[in-house]
Amino acid sequence: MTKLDPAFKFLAIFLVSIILAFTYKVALNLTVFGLSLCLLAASPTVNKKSLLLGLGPFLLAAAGLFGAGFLFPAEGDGISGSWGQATITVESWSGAWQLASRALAFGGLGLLFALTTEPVEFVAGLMWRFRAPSQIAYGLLAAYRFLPLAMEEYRMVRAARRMRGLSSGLFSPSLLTPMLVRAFERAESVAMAMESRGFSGQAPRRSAFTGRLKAVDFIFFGFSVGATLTASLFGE
Amino acid sequence: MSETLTASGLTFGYDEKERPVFANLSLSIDRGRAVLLMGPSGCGKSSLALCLAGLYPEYAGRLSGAVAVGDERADLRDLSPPERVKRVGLLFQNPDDQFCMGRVDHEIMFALENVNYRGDIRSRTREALALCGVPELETASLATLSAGQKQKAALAAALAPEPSFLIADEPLANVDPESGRPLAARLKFLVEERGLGLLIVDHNPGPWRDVAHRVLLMDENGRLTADIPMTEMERHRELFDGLGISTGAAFVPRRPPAPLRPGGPTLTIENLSVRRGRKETLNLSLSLPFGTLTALTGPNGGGKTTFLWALAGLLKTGGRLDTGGRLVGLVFQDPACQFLTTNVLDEIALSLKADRKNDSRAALETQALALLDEFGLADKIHLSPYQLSQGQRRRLAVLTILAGGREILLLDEPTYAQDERSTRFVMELLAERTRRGATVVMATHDPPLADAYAHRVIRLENGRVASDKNTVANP
Repeated sequence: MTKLDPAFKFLAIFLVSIILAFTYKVALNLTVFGLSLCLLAASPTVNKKSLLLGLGPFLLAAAGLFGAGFLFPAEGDGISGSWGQATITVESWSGAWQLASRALAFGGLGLLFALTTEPVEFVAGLMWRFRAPSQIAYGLLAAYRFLPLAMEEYRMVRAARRMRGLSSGLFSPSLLTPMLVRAFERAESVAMAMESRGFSGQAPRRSAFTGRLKAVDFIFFGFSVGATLTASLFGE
Repeated sequence: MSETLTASGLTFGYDEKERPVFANLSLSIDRGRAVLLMGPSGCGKSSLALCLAGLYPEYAGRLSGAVAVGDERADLRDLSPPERVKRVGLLFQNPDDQFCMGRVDHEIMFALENVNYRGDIRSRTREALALCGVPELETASLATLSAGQKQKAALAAALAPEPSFLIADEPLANVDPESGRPLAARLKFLVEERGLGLLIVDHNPGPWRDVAHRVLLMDENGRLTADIPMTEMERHRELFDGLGISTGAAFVPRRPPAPLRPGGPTLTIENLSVRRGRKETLNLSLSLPFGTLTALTGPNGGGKTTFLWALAGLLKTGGRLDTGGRLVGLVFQDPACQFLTTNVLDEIALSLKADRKNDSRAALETQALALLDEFGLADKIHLSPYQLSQGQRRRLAVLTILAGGREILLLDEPTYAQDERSTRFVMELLAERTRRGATVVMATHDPPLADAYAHRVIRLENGRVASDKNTVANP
């Protein structure tokens, strides 16, 4: 998976996600999720700890959505049982599985892309393959890096307050001002750093990641999009 | 080889209403020559470096005058960023502030992509790394590198577009002496063999004695007051002394550290350990008498910062740490990490408030003003801490902790990027605090400074004590 062209891989995964968004087939969702996990497990460069950590939120979301769908009184007359005071209909079961399996499928696809793609190569691919403007492409890269940077800033601000004998809770508003000030500082210093490397949104620039698409890119694209489309149209 | 970087009649200021940082300043640097720019902290050296590299006034301030390369009529400011970096490269003081990517090769390739490099980008990336003596770092993650390696990676990225000139702002400030020497030697090679024109901004002439051909002195008013051949620096020592900057002479403290009294209470550290994943990055047992100054030396990555963070209680640790109930304060390596408010006065008032909860706002501000005056920052009280020079930021960061009534002071490189006068000021202040009972533990890359002021100098390597010497004889 890491050898695939990142932009082309993104396009394939994006199209699969669009097809799934308009399809209501639990088996297809679970198959996509299972295949994504198999591909991730088979990829030697994927850190298995990161995979498990990344799966956590999606499993939690799937469980939550399943519970909500299960207990939500869906219209229908096929009563399949009761749970406490709630009546469980066949439609409730179906709705719960739909929601949970979608969360898993989208989670699996997201992880498949995120854990097998080098962000810089993806950004370069967007510019080279799809002619994305460099400002937008590098903006995406900055957004991708925002969360870890924000976490680091949060840790530093709490440490700085502690060193002054100032207490602050986990979500104390007093952390907000210094974090915001630093966010502005960082934004300016990143802009300056990029310009010190010659970056300009207007000037023509070459890409170091200009490889031709390989057969394996087309095979992945054709199989993933084609199979999902076929299954969504003709599958049970 | 006769190409010259010329600045003519430069006047730069951050605020139209205030006195300019420098006015009508002119200088020139030839290719194949290295020039060292020295001056007191906050005199405008870094601002000048950023003006020469074309980043100012776009990002701050107002600039008049001209900066041009060779016979070109175009001012550097009128050129696009890619055209500029092909003429003048810039090396930031802190390489982390300049990195845009996550990997060494991606950083260099980013620079080459930006200048629309016509050759093979990957080959040029390898060439630039080889030129800087670090071909093995090609695919390394920048976050895993030591400070010396980072600065060499940053140098490779700046040199990859083949600029005629390089401006290096305190390139060794974050680097230990062992790593700094090869970096200086590499720059010397580039000047002599590749005809690079080099402007180095530094407080310490030591590493540049064999590299630079001339020394420019800038006074506190931003005027270039002297242009001296490097070989004649010692003959003009009075000029350096007058500006409070170093000629590399040894530090002599006003009062030598008092002899240690054995048997007193101590800051006790028993098997203090820190783990990163499965690896134990620190394991130390030490007994540091209260009221003493201990200096931590050693290479980048040796464990100095980790030890200070562990002592401050900011890391999960194993073993035992007994501070005797004393309050601990840490001054971080990057002073900007210390700041919590939007102006200088509020920074100190906030520290004072934590210690003196019942004092009124007016009383806190009066005390804060007195302290800022003592630290030479009284005229900066309404500025944002981020508007201060690197040296002034460092002084303010030290003051935020001193003002908070901390009895155990931990300082990570408290004198980095400071001129000699500021360095002496901070060190004399710390020495005075130890005489009054405070315990100071500071990390430094300056062994002579450690020998002059510390009771004890501990060298850390790989998270262990490599050597431990008392610099003051017991009575």
